[in-house]
Amino acid sequence: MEAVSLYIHIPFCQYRCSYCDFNTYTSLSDLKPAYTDALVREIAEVAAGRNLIAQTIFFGGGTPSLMPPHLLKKIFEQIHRSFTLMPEAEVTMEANPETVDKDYLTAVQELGVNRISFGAQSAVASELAILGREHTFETVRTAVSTAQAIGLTNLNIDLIYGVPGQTLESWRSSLEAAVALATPHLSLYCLTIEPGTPMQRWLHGGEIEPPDPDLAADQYEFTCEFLERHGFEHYEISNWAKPGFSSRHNLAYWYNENYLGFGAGAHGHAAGTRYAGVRQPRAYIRRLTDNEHSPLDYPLSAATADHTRLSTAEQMSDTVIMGLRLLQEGATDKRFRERFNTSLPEAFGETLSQLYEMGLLAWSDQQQALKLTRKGWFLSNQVFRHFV
Amino acid sequence: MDQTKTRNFCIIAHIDHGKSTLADRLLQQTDTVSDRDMQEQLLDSMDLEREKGVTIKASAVHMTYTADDGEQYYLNLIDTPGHVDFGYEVSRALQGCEGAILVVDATQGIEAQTLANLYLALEADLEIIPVINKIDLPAAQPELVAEEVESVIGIPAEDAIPISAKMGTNIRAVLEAIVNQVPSPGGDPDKPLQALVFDSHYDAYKGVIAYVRIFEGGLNRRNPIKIMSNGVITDPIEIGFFMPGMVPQQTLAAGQVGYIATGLKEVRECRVGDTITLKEGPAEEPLPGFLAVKPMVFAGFYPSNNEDYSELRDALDKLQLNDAALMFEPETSTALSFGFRCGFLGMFHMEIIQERLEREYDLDIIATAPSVRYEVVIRNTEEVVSISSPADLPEEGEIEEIREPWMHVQVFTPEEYYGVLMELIMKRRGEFVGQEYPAPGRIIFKFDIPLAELIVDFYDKLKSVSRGYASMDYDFAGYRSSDLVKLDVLVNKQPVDALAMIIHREAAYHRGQRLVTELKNRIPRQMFEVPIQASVGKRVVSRANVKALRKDVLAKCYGGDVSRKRKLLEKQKKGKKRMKMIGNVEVPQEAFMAVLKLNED
Ligand SMILES: Nc1nc2c(ncn2[C@@H]2O[C@H](COP(=O)(O)OP(=O)(O)OP(=O)(O)O)[C@@H](O)[C@H]2O)c(=O)[nH]1
Ligand SMILES: [Mg+2]
Repeated sequence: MEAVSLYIHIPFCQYRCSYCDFNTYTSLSDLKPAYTDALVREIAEVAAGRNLIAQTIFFGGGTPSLMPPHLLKKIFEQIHRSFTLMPEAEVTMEANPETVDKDYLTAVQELGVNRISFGAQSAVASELAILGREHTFETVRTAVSTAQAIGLTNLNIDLIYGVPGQTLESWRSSLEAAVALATPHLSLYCLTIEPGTPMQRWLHGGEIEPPDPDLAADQYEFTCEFLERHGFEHYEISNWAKPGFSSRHNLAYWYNENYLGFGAGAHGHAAGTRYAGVRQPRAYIRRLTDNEHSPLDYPLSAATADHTRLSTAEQMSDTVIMGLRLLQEGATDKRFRERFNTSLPEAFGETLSQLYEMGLLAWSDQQQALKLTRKGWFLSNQVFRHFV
Repeated sequence: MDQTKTRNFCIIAHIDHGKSTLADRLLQQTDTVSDRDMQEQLLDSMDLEREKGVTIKASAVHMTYTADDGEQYYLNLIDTPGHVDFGYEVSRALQGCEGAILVVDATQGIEAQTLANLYLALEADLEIIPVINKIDLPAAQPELVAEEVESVIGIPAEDAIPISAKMGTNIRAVLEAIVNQVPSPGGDPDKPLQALVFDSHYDAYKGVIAYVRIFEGGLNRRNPIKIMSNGVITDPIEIGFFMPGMVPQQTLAAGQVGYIATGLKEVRECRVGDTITLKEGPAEEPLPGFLAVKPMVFAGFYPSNNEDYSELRDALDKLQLNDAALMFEPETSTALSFGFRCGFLGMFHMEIIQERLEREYDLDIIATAPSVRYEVVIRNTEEVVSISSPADLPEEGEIEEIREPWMHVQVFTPEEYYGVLMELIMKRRGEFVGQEYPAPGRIIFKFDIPLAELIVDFYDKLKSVSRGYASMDYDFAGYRSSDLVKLDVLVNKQPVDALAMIIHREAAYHRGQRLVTELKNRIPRQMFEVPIQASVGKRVVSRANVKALRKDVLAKCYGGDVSRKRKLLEKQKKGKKRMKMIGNVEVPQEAFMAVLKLNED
């Protein structure tokens, strides 16, 4: 019996946001039924003959909420056939606020979804426009209260800071608006302008100003303090939750545990291997429709485009790097020892002392966990670099 | 071969007036090179020469010519470079000759190196044959230029031969003039051998190839030879003429120009300027040789990739084989690690060496700001030390005075650029000496100027303000005391040796500001604030801060981001390895390079 988390990728969007470089497509919605069938086949293929327990499920995208309930149903049915679902397993779905109504939310709730993550991004109209979002904050409000009304209360809201044109004031107003919605979880991301996105073209063309890193630092600092006042725990670099509401699925990533990725371009990590599927949805469907192929080693499927076996050293450093993202819990020595038969100081002694000296890293009381210092929260990349 | 039928001559001119093209025509006219094998500027055989269209090294060719009088003559031609940096190549070539063809461009008239090279030729007592080239061009004014030649040089206008080297017009007249006007070489074939090495190159099979002019005596291919400066004795592998490839001969006799493949593997064993004699019955005295060339411009050359240090040393060694003017010695820098302090004849020479290193040896070079050689008088002891790197400058308190090299400069220009040129000269601390009007509408400016001012793009500025018409020539005038200071650049209070420079006090402030700004924009933010300062002695003349890095976070890291993030971190880590540490500040090598590039504009 092996416990895993499941990530299911839905590569469809109605429009593309200006900052987005995810594997998603705006003109392939006709493929949804075929894509669903392919997903079902991939899930069946990977899990076949293994006695797997699914502890969390996450529908990410893209815009998963563009999938009609009858197709989601097929996917859930296959999940139930292939896995034993842990009691009270966290089942999250990402949703764009303008795509959901009461009927839809009720339908997915009935299928088993018990947590929704809404992409709100900002409460300021001009910022939503720059980000290329085609909804207002009012839509977010409606979506959230609709969900809450039917008992879907384990909700997250995504917001973005460091947006061109954003100020500390406007960020505060977004935060206040978000907090007022009383969701128990907030994911707050600093904008990174990725290559190939419209936003990067605007930046090169001089149409937008490059974001000011010092302002972003001020916004982050303000956020930490503001949310602490509102009773949120800052449990991961970019994630805040009311006690008991941390995202269990995402914790699996940060604990460097096993997860299976299904769908176009989905990544997975299991059996000491990291792998990713083909990105193009058509190619993904094709690969899973050509039924003649010899069975592949777990966790790979016919859709796997590339995979690497991780060395122990890589696994160790991934474990520390991901663990340090958990600001309160840190990278725990006990967990590390259980997994690698060696302690953190044994594995990284020299590096650790350098980082203590720089004031970026510290041990929790009784040396149970290694944690970023407050200074380290802001400079985590400088810390992580030492572990690769 | 009849000594009275031998003529040794060179072609001299201002840069680009057509020396190498005329050489082509002479090679063709004398059937030394067949029409089929002909290519433009054939003697410019180095890649870089061909690409830039500029002669860098002199080269020698042996030709046979049947003159109008029906007799056969043996002509030895030496093609020379025109650029001022390579004047020493010209003066060496002149030693092998009795005559010089002075080429003047019919559209440009006499220019600075026309005169400079002419004076060298006159000093060497050569017969001058003026040739007016490019008469095929619509803008050509051969009569006017001929008059200029008469008034400036004093050779009757009607004696100048109008030609087009490109079209092959009137080439035979040039050959006839050589035969009729250039004296045959002297020298007694029966005296002990005295052969002057006026150039050399290295051949992997035949060792050092000495280019020689035989002044006295002669040699047979089987005679063991002796290098007079060091007593080295060797059996030559081969002797012969350049035609233009090496063509072996049985003998070389007094008056002739050719080569001796010495078989010597060390360039030190046979240097330019040495006299070669025979082992048996050697000459008593060597020939006068050449004045040692003194490098004027110095810069640190560092491999951008530290591992290439020994390759760089080997490459410099090889280049030195056929470029006696190149000097180098090891130097270390905290910012740039291990490299060499190199000495050059001028900026063009430096540029050529850098390009050859990059091209022929596939090395990537970082050059520090060029510097001149300063003389520093030490307080109290009055001792004079000579330094060519700002790093070697003693402490301010120990210095009585600093002297810098000054140059005599002549600028040759059409009148209308008088004003702009004067302004340029004054801005560069130049001191006006006088002016001459060699021909109607033409001026020769004479002034003195610190060499340090000349090496910073003076030539380009001169060309641009005069739309290419002004030309210049310079030579060393002497050392003069100046108000010079050392400008240091400090990163987090640590001086960066590679960026230090010796500069006139008045220019220090401005320069410091530019360096600081550039550096500030290129040093990535560190985890603490980093002050960047430019200082003269203890006084800070400019400062700026690189603000502390406040935030370096990858906001999102979920399942799909792990490998991507890892790659990113690995890349950053690699980038860090290429960083140079100035104290505890990490500075990308690119930052230094960018700042050093500033010196180029
Ligand atoms: N129209 C015309 N162009 C010529 C003539 N002679 C030379 N040129 C051109 O002038 C340019 C310079 O010629 P070179 O023979 O390389 O001049 P150079 O004096 O050897 O130059 P350096 O060795 O660099 O000093 C080339 O582009 C030639 O093609 C000529 O008679 N007529
Ligand atoms: Mg030439």
